[in-house]
Order: sequence, then C-alpha cells, then structure tokens
Amino acid sequence: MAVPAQSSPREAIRVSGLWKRYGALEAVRGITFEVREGEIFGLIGPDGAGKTSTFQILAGVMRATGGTAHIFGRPAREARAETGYLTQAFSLYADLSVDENIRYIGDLRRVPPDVVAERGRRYLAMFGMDRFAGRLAGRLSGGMKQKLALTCALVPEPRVLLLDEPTTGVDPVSRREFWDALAHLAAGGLTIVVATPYLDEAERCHRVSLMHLGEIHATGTPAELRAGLGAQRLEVRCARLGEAEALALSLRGRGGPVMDVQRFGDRLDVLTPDAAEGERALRDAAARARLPIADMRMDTPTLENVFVTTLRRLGQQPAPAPFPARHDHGALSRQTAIGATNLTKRFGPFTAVNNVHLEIRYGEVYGLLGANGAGKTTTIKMLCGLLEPTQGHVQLAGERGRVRSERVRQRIGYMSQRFSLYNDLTVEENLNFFAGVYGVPPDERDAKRRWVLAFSGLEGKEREITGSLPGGWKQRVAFGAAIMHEPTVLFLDEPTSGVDPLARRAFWAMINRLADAGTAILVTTHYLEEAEQ
Amino acid sequence: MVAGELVVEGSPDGIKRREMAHRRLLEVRVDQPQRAVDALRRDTDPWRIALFGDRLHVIADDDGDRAGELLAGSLRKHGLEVLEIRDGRFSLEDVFISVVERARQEGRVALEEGA
Repeated sequence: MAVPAQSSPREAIRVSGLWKRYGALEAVRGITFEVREGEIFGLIGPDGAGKTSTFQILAGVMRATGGTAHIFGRPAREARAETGYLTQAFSLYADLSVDENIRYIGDLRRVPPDVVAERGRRYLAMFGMDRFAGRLAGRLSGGMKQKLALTCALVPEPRVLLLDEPTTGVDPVSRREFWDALAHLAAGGLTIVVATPYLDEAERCHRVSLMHLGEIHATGTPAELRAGLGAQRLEVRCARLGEAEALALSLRGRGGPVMDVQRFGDRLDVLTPDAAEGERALRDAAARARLPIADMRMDTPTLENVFVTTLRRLGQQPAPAPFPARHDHGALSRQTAIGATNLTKRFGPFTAVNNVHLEIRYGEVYGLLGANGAGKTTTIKMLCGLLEPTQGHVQLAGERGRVRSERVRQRIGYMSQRFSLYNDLTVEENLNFFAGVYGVPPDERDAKRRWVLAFSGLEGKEREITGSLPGGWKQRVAFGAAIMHEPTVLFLDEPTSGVDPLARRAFWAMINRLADAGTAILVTTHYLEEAEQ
Repeated sequence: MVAGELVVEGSPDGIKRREMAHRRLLEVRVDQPQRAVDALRRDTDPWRIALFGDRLHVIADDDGDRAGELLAGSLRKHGLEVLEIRDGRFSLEDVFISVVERARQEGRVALEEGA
C-alpha cells in the first residue's frame, strides 16, 4: 500500500456526496473520496469530467450545490488559509520580476515580509530557480513559469495544494523536475491533489481517481488500477502493421480474445483478458492471413489502457467517424517529402538551429522532440517556408527552394503551436475560411466540414464563437482544419497540448491513417509516450 | 533535438536500444521512499532517480545481475529497508532525460537559459 513515509495516515480531505449544477448542466454528480495527509492524489478524466469544478469547490472559491467538502475537518470555504490553488491559466504578473511576484502574493496572503523573503529563497532554491529571481515572469520558459506559480502558492505554507493541470505546455525535463519537487513536498507532509490529462504523470501519484461526466468510476493506486483491469497487454511487432491492426480489431468484441488495439509507430498494443489465449488467437489469425509476425511479448497494462477501457465500458467510444478521403497519395510512396541539408538559423549572435539534416519520406510519421528552446518550432517554420534559413537548403513536396509557392502551399498542412484559428469567427466560418485558403474543391467541402465537426465533438455547435471553446476542443478543430484538403505533407507543432487522452487517441488514429494513405507527417510533442506512436 | 542540433534519430525502439544499451531501469520499493531518493541523489547523478508514487525508478549502469544487488547494498547502508527490486522498462522520457543530461554534461546546453 502507498502509505507515504514519515507522516501519520491522518485524513486531510474528505469529500462526500458532492454535487455541482450550473443550470441544467450537472458538472459534479455525487462524488466521494478522501485524501490522507502527505498523499499525492490524482484526478484523471477527459475534458468535461468535472475536475475543475471539484478543484474550485475544494479551494473554497465556489459553492457546492449539494454534499460536503472538508479540509482538516472544516468546510473548504473556511479552510482557505490552508489551501494553495494553481489554476490552468498562467496567473502571474508578466511585467513583475520573479521576486516581485512572490512579494506581491506574500502581501496578499498577509505573510510578514521577512518570512516571505526566506520562504521565497528556499522554494526557488528547491526548484533550481534561485538564479532567476530578478527576471521578469513574462520572460520565463513554460516550465519555470509553472515553478514560479508553485512557489507563489507555497509561500503562505498551505497544508493542502490543489493543482489543476499544472504541466500543460511544460517540456519533459521541467516536467520531471516539477514532479520531483511535488514528491519532495509530499514527503514533508504536504497534501497534494492534482488533475492531469497525462497518464504517465498519474503514475507518479500515490492514488488516483478516474472521473467521467461528474462521477468517480475507479479509485486506487496505479498498481491496483492496472491489476483491477483483469487484462494483459501484448506488444506485437510486424512489418505489415496496418494489416495486423485490422486483424487484431477483427478479434475484438465482448468475450473475445481482444479487448482493445492501439497502434504505435513500430508496434501494436493488444489488450487481452488472457495473454496465452490472446497470443494463440492472434497467431492463428495471422497464419490464416499469411501475415508474418516478427515478435510478440507480454507486459502489464498501462494506466492509459485502464482509462480507455473504463470509459469504453461506460459507453464513451472515441468516435471513429471515417475521414471522407477523396485522394490517394500512394503513388508518392518512399519518395522524399521533407528534406533539409545543413539547415541553420541565426538570430543575431544566437544560433537557434545548427546544421540540421533530415529526410522524411511520404507515408512516414517523424517526431521531433526537445526541451523548450531546443529549436523545434524554428526548424518547422524553415521547413514549411515561413522562415528563411540563414544557411542550408530545404526540399518540400517535390520542390526545392521555391517552397513558398501557391502550388506547394496547397499540398501542405500546418497546425501551429498557438491556435491557427480565428477566435472571433464561428467554428463554421473558420472551416470555410481554411477550406478556401487550402483550395478544398467545392464539392468536397460539405463532407469535410461535417467530418471536422464530428471529430471535434462539436456537431450542432458550428455557430459557436471559436474563442469561447475550451482549449481541447479548439485543438481538435485546428487539427481538422489543417487536414481537410488532404495534404501530402503535414506539420503538427504540439498538436495535443492540453488535449485529453481519448481525443489524443483519436488524433493519433487519424495521423496513422493519413500516413497509411501516403502523407508525410512531422510532429513535435512534449509528451514522450505519444512519441512512441 | 538539443540546443538547435539533432542529436539522436531513429525508431523509438532503435533509440531506446542504442541510447540505453549499457543501462537498465530498476523499480525499487523501500520503507521510506523520499529518504531513499534524497540519499541516492547524493551518491549519484540526480537525474537517474525519480519517485513514482511509492516506487523509485533508478537508471543504473548495467552491471549484469549485480546492478540490483549493488543498489540494495547502498540503500541498506543508508539504513533503508529494501522491500522489492525488479527490472522495469525504459520509457522514451527516460531516454530523453538521459540524452539531454549527456548534452548538458558535455556543455552543449545551458537549459532554460535561452528562454
């Protein structure tokens, strides 16, 4: 069991039969859980699960419709001095320095200035940020901003820390440091509740609750949840992965040997109730189809398996609306789609990209990984003709040099890190605009638009103003808008940042389908579990 | 990509095999996890140690079957009780962290400085 060391198993938080209604919408529907002192407790669930409402009630900034939330025995609203709350949005003053932000928060929370100074120094040192005390908050990287926000939340020395998706947009090195700091603080007795859409982060919690449509469906340690699934995972390697996937999917069904199939870049993950039986069924089917399987091995299921399987049992299927493909790029197969030689970009004395060579062929998915500031976005901008290289050559969609021509532009799709959509247009107007820019033939537009709406879960909401949508939904529309014209080359810069696991899965299923149809795809991501795809 | 350069390229499996060839991931349960993290981080490169709930992930230099024994010995020396040590699998994140760390040690990158 996950009893944190050096702390009594005292109850820190008790939530009992909690409800929250907004008009007709029931955001939280009678949830109950406890968190022990010194525990890291994770709330995981898709967008709209009710996690943020739960946090707002625990933080005492919103009233519940029914039920109770207690922190160290007192109602959450009366225990606000005990809680620190980090919201999804960046909540610091960009034009104040790191130190000034800390002093300002200390003042607000009425902590004596000398105490604020001492604690500020201590936490900045703990997070490796002491050298940046004088820097403007607006000029920090994503990871450092989050560490500063955490420092500000810690300065009043709360006993409970509430973190609502604290690592969105934070690179892997900073993410690991952030979680190392959380583990350290929890070991010192701080109680932490954290929501995250990233299931590798959920592995770092002592216990986790899986939330969906306002209800909690499973609670336990990550190991208990994995064991509770009653399934094993087979990793299948095979040269003809697309065929193997179709084969495994044909064995899926109630009581059958296959519960779930997920495609990764160089393997399939097949979830099965019984590994021996699952392996036999797969091998038999492969033999009948004359499909050689290179390797098959058993492993424990992941939290992602638990998540997807549980939601599927609840009837939430990542809707696989078939993409209305009208063009096949198979003829281009194996030719170079994106090429770079000696690619270099300097901004004054700063070398952002140094001598990069790469070659990506049609039908390939290429992941570009790196910390913030490693040069990924600059590289992408040069590759797709948005930025002139200082040195070196680019080859794109069959053209050299003239990569900014109209002809090339209609063959590529680009989804930028910041939303490429117009916030003050409706969803429909955005889709019409991009269909026009990318030259989608008029007779295909309607089918494509309907597909994007289905993929985004926005059917019937096409008249809504894009800016009013939650981030995860906007990402889905932006992704859809970038592929409506069936580009032969697709650039995706952090496409899944802030997107929940089910939607992320739908993104990757689509990416693989596009690659199978011959599209070359370059993706950047901070989430390395998806780089495996 | 690190500091503007492509440092490693290949399939996910290929990168793991190549970059982590002489390393292994040990999953460790001890009676006092955070104390174990702090102690091991003083003994070795801090990036090799991370706490996942009540389990430690330790990236050890592969020393045949002795890696686990050596680790258990060093934990006991710190007065910790070792409950379980078993082999785990590297995630691509483990690989990423170790590639970036190597670049950092070679002075190729001053992380977050350029932000």
